[in-house]
Amino acid sequence: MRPFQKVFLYDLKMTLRQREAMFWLLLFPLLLMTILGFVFKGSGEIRLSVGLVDLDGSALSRAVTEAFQAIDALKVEVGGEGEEREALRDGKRNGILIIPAGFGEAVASGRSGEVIMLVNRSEVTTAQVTSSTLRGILEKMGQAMAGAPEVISVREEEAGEVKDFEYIDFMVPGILAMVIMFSGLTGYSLEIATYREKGILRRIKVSPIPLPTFLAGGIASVLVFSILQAVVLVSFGVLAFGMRLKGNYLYIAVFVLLGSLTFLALGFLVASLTRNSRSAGLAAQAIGMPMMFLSGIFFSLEWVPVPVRVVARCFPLYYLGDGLRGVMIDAASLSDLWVDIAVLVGVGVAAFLASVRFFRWE
Amino acid sequence: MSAISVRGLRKHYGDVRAVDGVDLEVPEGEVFGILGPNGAGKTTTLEIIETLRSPDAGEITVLGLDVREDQRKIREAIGVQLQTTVFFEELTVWETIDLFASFYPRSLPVGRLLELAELQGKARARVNTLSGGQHKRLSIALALVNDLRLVFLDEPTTGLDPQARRHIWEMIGHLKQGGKTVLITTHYIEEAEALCDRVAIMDHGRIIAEGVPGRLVTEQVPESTISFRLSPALAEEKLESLPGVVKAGVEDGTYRVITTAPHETLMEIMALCRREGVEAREVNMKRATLEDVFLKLTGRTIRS
Repeated sequence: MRPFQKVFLYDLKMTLRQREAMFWLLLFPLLLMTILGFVFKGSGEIRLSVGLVDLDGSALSRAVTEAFQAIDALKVEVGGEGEEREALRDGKRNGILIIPAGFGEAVASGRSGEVIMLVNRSEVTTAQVTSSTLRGILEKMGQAMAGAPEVISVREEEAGEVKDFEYIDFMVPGILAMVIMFSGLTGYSLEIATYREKGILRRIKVSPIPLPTFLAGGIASVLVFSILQAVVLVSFGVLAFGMRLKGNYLYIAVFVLLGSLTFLALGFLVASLTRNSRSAGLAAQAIGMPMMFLSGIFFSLEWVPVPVRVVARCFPLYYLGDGLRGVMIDAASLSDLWVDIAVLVGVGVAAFLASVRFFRWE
Repeated sequence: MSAISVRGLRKHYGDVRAVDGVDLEVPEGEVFGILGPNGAGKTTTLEIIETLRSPDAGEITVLGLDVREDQRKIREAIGVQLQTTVFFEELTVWETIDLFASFYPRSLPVGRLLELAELQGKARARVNTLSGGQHKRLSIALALVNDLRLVFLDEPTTGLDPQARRHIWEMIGHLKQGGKTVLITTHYIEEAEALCDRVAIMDHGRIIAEGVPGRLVTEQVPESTISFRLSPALAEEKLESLPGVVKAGVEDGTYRVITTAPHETLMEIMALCRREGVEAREVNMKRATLEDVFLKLTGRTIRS
């Protein structure tokens, strides 16, 4: 146990002494979180932007306009027909309503007053909402004007625990998964490649410490460091951006450690298959970058086209992100996430066996 | 029992015969040197004995243990300094020794090793701030970490300035006094002559001569050179007829007499000068060195 403990301790020390690594593994993720956190702050709520064009100018049309402006969920812009249509075309409105001339007169004479609605169909996620919201409001207004009795009354009660979900809650587990991936792919495994290049591995070979003990000490220090990364990142998310952390800390630790091991194994494989630490580094970047962008780390895959979703499911990072999100924001249990765990374990074991097969001392 | 015993060692890399039938016998307590030019196969031989590489053929035992069977036991029992070892850059000298010490079942205290390497003042310095000589001393200290009787040093002074080299020679001298068996490779003649009880001269994967440095020189190149200036000049023929003289010549007023019996010849030269009324100045006698042995056996110089 003594050599294991020393290797563990000194490896941890070495990691903490590497200023550049500290920047990329701790400070940079915090910066990234800060930037994304500010850019997307509040984007979780939907507030529809609606343009109103009053071509009638009657008392009734003005009342309708005012009523719309008073609705909280809508951001109402009143303008001319030409400019509002253009705003819609430019994607600045979710929809516009045009009250034609003669609207007030028609209603006053007991006929149905027609309102023209245009919805921005290119906003797939909001088009439906926009359309039904505007229809609903107009119908309600019509009933009120006609003096019809309210057949159904709604009494709203406190709904209790609702999945109240903001971008920061989504982003923190994603960034954590990304950091774990890059630590594994480019951290300790590249270090080993460097040891090999510089002949340090040969010096280890002629001493009685078995290689597995030497590596185990190093891996243990990487795992401890990954827990430290998780604590720093999540604390920052909670304290600076009010992230709502739910779920079991132990489960979170399980995913952090499992992800670290899986990506370490992949990193070892890359380092074993490439000629030197330089090409290993480049290969690791080449593998890590597409995974980072395509695995639903920064944005939910619900917003991307189907082929991209399929590709994402080929990447182990997707399963780490999914698992971390599950335990951190959905308070899922480990058995709910068995697919994620199975994939990470499977990829890790396969990569580990392959890297043992291709290992070189020099 | 021999500390190291090598019989018929061969190692090929493709068509290159790096080691081509080497036999070595190193008794305990001896400082044994393998001397030869770069690429002679010294390091390969050493690394096979250290268990770092596997031999293609040959019987090799270290402290009675077979290098193919008992690698772990051998590694516990030997101390090794490799030719090019770079250590962990982010650790200090003290931490590096402490880390390596933990690999062995038994080890000397860190302070003692710092003392041996004369690195006490550098204990808290990062390894990457050390000079070349300090770096080599650290790697030798790491070879001594387990305080064992058998130490391997692969070109311990290559690339160092003369002062740093002297420093390492002193360190190796202490090992010798401490009764350790040391196997050392070098391409410096002076180093082999100054440090080694016995040397093997290696070239093209083979040992071409072996023995106690002084005796090896006398056996292989018995001639010494006596040089001096005379005023007034003397005919070379008179020198050539003196006993023991192989050849005599003069160039730019400096006479060179090659002899197999240096002391006798020197006396005769002095007597001749007295008889002829000639004054001899700048008299210099130079014995042959291992370099001359190598030159004689291969027709090349070690450094070429």
